Amino acid sequence: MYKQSHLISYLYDKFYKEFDEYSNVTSSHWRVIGGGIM
Amino acid sequence: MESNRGGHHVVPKGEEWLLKGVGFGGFSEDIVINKIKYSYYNLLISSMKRKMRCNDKLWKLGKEVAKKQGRLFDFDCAKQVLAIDYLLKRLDVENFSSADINRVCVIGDGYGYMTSLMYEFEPSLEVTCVNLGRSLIFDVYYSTLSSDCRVGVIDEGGVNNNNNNINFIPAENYSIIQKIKQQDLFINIASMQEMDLPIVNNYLRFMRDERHNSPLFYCCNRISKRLPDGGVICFDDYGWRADDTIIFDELCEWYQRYPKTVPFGWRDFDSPIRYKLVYLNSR
Repeated sequence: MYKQSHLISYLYDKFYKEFDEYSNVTSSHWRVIGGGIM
Repeated sequence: MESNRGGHHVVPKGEEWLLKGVGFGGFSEDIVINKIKYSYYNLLISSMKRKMRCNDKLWKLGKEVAKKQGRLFDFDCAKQVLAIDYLLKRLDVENFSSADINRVCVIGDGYGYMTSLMYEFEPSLEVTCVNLGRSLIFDVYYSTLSSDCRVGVIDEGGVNNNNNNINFIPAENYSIIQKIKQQDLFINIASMQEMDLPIVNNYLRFMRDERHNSPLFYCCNRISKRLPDGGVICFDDYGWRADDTIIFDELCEWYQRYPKTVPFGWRDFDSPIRYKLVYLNSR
């Protein structure tokens, strides 16, 4: 479980905190559901 | 540009995580109200097993993986179980290692289901899961709910995949698949159809690993699909070569329609879906 949490934290920091609407491997924007919590 | 990439909601809450996703595969939480809601729907799912004569043990395993992930065994799960069953039948083996397949790379999973199912089916396999960073977090979370194994993320900064059972690669760095251990089988179900063609072409180029004469590629995607920016992605343009060895290339028998609860019954997808198993020539 520690390892899982560690990996999720890593991905969260990289793709949710610091990552904007774009990904260079998709033509679409991201959407956030649930509104404004992040 | 309109989004159809799907919605992602990930919130840290103490040492736990709250995750909710929309639009990158189905996910019905295993709760009483959903069990009631989907009781008739299950009849349709079960009919898929009978029609395709799916291996009983594999079908049961698929249900167990779904249960561990806290989800109902739905159409998305069933179609992935059937994909594994069909692959084994067409390769004429009972497990992947009998066909010299020891490393499997799943490109574009969803909630880690195929990744986990592969590992649970054959724990000697090394499984790699490639997905968009925002979706990959769901793959990590759910596959580790159902599989107790060594896992790791391979990202820029290092490709030393130290004998993990499951590795995760953010698709934003998908060129890494050229550098990891040789993969024997690549699987892509219904996500290349969402990519721009140059990206798909790159994937196939990276899969054609010079270290490996001919990795297998199971590709199951729409014959054509219009992307949100107006472009059209066609299965025939993915980067196949005339010297690839095709095992099968057909319309996918169980994936031309999907079950609906209201009104109850099957509905056709808006474009036929094709599946192909091919040895990619790397020379």
